[in-house]
Amino acid sequence: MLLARENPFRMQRIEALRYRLDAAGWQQLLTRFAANRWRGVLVGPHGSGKTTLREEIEARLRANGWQVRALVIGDGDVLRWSMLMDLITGAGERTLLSIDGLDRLGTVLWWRLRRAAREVGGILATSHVPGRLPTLHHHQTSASLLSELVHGLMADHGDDHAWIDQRCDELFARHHGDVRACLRSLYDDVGDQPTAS
Amino acid sequence: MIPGITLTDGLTAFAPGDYLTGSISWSSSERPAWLELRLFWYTEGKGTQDIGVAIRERFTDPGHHGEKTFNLKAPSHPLSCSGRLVSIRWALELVSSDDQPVVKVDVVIAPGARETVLGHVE
Repeated sequence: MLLARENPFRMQRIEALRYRLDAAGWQQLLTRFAANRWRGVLVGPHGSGKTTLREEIEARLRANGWQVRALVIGDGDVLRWSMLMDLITGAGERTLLSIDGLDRLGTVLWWRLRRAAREVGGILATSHVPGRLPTLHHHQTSASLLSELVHGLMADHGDDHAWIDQRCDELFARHHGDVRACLRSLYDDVGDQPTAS
Repeated sequence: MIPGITLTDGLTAFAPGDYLTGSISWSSSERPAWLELRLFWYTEGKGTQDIGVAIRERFTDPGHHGEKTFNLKAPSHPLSCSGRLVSIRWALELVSSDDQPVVKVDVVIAPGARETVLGHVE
């Protein structure tokens, strides 16, 4: 049994993975975001890196003097207008409203929010479906991307990596492209392996 | 900022109630408003991370460089332990007000100064 602190797929390592975008990709993304008056939505399925990219965009804007106000809407969350007002009150032209789970926000609340946030500097959101804001980035995953991530995470863990590509293909199909779910399955795979000690 | 944490005799494993002693050092072209030494625990594993700070010692206006000693009593809980799903770990870290990289040293706090390994239930 591998101890949690030794598992290469422990959550802290997964969360430390950076979104794979080169310098030109970043420039295009931020140029497009600015051209849309800093309004955009990151669209993609579960576990495709939307939240990771959102957090990296936030960090880049923070570094340029923006203030970020984040709202994470989970499955089954019941939102009230007063909660959205807290988000907007005092927000200025260098404030980014960051909404994780825009598709979980009811239509009427979204209309009110969009209207109330007209003067706010920017709105960045993640969603499983396009719409409401211009699509800033469409996330796609692949078994080869998963395999690349896994090889990176396993780089300092053992020598036998021959199983990785085939296992990534299996997991990618089983989890319908949800990379995060695949990495959680790999936590169990590796955790159950017998250790030398 | 070049921060450092040195534990006396290189000891990194302690029993609850033991004293973690040693020194911190720093050297910086900037002059941080404060430095803070923290003894904290954190989890690692399959789930999201929990963190708790047990002891903080803040040094205000520490200057460009210097050294200070510390003497911290190891708390009685939570204890360092590891299983398949989660590990509870302790660490010392030195943080500065100017957002510079911090230095962190992992330590064990558990009975007999040995991390408890949680067994596997069949």
